[in-house]
Amino acid sequence: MTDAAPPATSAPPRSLPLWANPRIGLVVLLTALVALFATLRPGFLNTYLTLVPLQADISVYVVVGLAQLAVLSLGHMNMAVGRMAAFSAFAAGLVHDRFDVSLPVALLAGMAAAGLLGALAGLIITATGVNSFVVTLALDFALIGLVSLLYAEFTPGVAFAGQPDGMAQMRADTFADYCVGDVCGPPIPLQVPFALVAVLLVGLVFRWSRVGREVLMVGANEKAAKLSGIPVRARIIQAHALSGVLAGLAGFLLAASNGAFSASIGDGFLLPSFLAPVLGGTLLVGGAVSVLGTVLGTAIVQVIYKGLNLLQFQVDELKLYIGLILLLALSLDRVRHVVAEKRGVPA
Amino acid sequence: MRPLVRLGSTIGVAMLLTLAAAACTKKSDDPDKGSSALTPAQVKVALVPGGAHPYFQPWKTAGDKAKADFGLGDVTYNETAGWDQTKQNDVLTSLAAQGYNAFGIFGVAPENINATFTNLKGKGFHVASLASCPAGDRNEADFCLSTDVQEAAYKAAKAAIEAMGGQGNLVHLTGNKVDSNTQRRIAGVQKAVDETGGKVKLLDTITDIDKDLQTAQKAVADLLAAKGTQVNGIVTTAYNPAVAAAGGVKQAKLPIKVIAIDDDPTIIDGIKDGSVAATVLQNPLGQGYVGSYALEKLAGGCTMTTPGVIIDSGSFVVTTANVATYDTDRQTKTDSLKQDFDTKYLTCN
Amino acid sequence: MTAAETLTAQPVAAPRRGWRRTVRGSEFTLVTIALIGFVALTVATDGNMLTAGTLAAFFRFLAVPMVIGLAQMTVLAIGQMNLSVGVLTGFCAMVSAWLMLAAGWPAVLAVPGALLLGALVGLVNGILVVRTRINAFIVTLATMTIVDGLRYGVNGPRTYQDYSPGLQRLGQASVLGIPVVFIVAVLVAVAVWLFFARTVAGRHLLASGGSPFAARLSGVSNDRSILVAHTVSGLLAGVAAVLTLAQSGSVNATIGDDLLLPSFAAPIIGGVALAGGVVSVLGTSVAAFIVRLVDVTQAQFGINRRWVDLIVGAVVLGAVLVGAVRQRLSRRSS
Repeated sequence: MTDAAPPATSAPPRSLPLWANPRIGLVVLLTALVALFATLRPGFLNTYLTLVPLQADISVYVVVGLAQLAVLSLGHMNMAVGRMAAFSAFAAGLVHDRFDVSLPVALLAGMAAAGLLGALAGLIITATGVNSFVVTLALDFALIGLVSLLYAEFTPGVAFAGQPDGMAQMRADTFADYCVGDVCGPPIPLQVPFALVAVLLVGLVFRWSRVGREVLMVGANEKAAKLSGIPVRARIIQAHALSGVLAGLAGFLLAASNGAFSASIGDGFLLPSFLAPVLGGTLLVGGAVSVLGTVLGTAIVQVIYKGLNLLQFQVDELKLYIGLILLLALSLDRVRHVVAEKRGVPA
Repeated sequence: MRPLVRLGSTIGVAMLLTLAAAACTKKSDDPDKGSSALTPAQVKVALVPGGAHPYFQPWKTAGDKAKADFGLGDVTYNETAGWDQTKQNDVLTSLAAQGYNAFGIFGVAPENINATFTNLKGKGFHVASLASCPAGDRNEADFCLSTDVQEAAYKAAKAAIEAMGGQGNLVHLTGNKVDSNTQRRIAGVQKAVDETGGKVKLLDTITDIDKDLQTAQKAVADLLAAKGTQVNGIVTTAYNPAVAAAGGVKQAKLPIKVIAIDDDPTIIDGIKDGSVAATVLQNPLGQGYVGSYALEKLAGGCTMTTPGVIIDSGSFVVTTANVATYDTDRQTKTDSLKQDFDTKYLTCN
Repeated sequence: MTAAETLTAQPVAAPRRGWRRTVRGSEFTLVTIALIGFVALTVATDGNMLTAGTLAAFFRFLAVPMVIGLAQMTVLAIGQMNLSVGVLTGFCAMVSAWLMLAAGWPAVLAVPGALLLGALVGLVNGILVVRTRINAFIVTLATMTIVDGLRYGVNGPRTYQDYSPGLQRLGQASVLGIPVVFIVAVLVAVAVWLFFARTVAGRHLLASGGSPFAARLSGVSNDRSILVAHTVSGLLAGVAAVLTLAQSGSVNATIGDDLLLPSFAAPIIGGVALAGGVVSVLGTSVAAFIVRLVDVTQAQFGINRRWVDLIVGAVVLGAVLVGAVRQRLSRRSS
């Protein structure tokens, strides 16, 4: 589930020193941050006020990160990741509003709608050969307008009034609210399993499935992939569709946490979607992805955010420190990389 | 590398499962939902606007004053939500983890802020919806203390019509079109225009220009270019359009009457130099001060006579005539609001 | 990529003909579209477009998007991106206003101050990219967050105004009906064109963007190109800040929020390749003109604002599609 490099380019197996494993570095950083914030603010370890909301946030943003990772595997970008999430939330809200469908059906409808948008982006990219950044940026522009026009058309304002049964529970409950006899589940919010399933599936796709490996191959070297008989166009479209589906899932999860299918869903997705995979060691050039790294990267970003919130910084300081810590974390990873290279260890 | 990774994954999954199993809880250890009566010194109030905005700045002073006057444990002001409902929810739970137990909130998204209120109340906290009420006809907060925005917009339009001499063409500049508050403002302006019986025409309602100043300035310049000579009055019901309209009309040297909103120094200067005909003030200071007071009472064991009641915090028209003295009116309104809470809205044993 | 090929052959000697030929076609189309759009709008508004006030407003608010598009274009030239251009514009404007109001500097000092600050932040971006070897997209994402915080830190949510009557008069002034701020923007565009077409640094920049490997072989320092590109980009953001100060008369911490996505839209519509090595000053400027046309159409007819985003998205997509089709056709014909 970790480094899934295409077999063609993977180095001969060599034992990796512990310190040079990027994932270990992230775990250390994460542990250090948690320890730091817990010392400064004991409230950081409060189960229901900090840890449960933190897990819910991590769940949403892990899926957001994976949505970006799905196309980073190609060396592409998806600038419309937030608006695809908004469109998914709209579609889910619409089918529930009009046909009174249940939660799974609404979820599937949302994911399918966003997946189609992703496929459309992929199709335009393959058909024209235009850079993915441009295509998805244009799509984002178009969807900003379209989503709010759609909400204005189909709802009284910017949100659907109703939600499928079960969404309220997803927002408020944890497994601790569900008991068998005297034993109840752990205090983990209900969004977590959704994210876990997404992580496992994406990990499996890129590690074990033929399609996933071929996508990585296209990302590593498109020409070589084409020459070795890989259907490059189909793979590009599929990767973008996957990105859309995951963005759709993230939009749904956020709608569950926020309490409504509304037009503002996904507004803040774009930047975190890049941060998590990049912190986790996925390069923007394509050809290799790190799913576990994305999970850790998301956790780090959210822990930083939560910690700084608990320290009650004001707006300017908050933004300043988030930026500085990110730069620091990225640079540390670079240092580790450079040292590893000097000692001849592939990292 | 592969065997190590596989081992790592296996260990990771195993650890997760053990953790999950070990973390299983007993039925009895439900989260603490104690809402017993607190002394004022135990009450810690957090005033949380939707983001940084000049309108909310008086909440800081109001909080400090409430803390001193009522002997509260603490009052904090946190504007880091950045107009993002997800972030605001984060900020709120973080403050709760820090020991804050009463919240005065301006919700970022009126359409789903009720979910946030329910969450907080479910954890035993007291919640006031300040400066804006949830969309729809339900308010899950203990009470909503805000400007009646329709009434305020109506007053603003009336002031504009008066400044225009009772006839001519009016333009309305405002914020996010799909926000329920904006809809109420549009209705308020329409009502005032309708009352003139056709003497005043609402030429245009320009929405979605409160996000940033440059967009508002561009919209005002384009409006003045397209229809400047036909327009007699501009009524603004959002901050950036107000600043932009005052500046734009002054620069274009057109005889257009501008009605602004709030009392940011920029606007008050405009009233003094004549580029702004009038401004409609709201009462953020009163919202913060009386809101903190009521939250303290609720935490002390009082209950709302009508849970979720909606209370108007007042709006005032200021022109050159009363620019020096308007604060007295506002103070009077604040005092009477506090009294109303004691006599009408709260039930205390 | 024609530019890269020419450059490998002749490292520093006249690489212009190559990229000019590539871009000329699309620039011609853009100018035609812009002219047709302008004439159509003039007819549709019964000539209102040609009244002095409308023309002045049109060009006054074209200046900043044009310069910001060029700021982004400079970094795109080396195949990188700068996400901090928008907030940097706001930050420079706020600092400059603060210098004039709180520190009491005259505008003659505060204006170079804003330019210097922009260039400095751009240089820091460049140094971070060179030193850490992290993708510029990510680096400027982080510095964008930092600069955003600083921008707010200058004056909180409050608005600065009445900072310099002279500067504001200049912002309102017109020469022969054309606003001074727009003339400044045009001069800046000419300077950027000269930079890429005539100076060694500019050509090195295009060489690094077209093919870093070939550039290095021919003795061009790619690191220096990165530093120069980011510094110039920051400097142009500083210019945009000064133009904003002059034309608007009031600034607050929201200045620049509307600039990030348009900063990409203009060069992309204008035919600048994201891969680097190709720039088009004329294309970027005309693209900004077209986007402004959409804006003004919205104001003239009171169209729902949300259609503007939809139309701009469609225009961007349309422009790239046309570009792709043309490229394919020209490839087939050659």
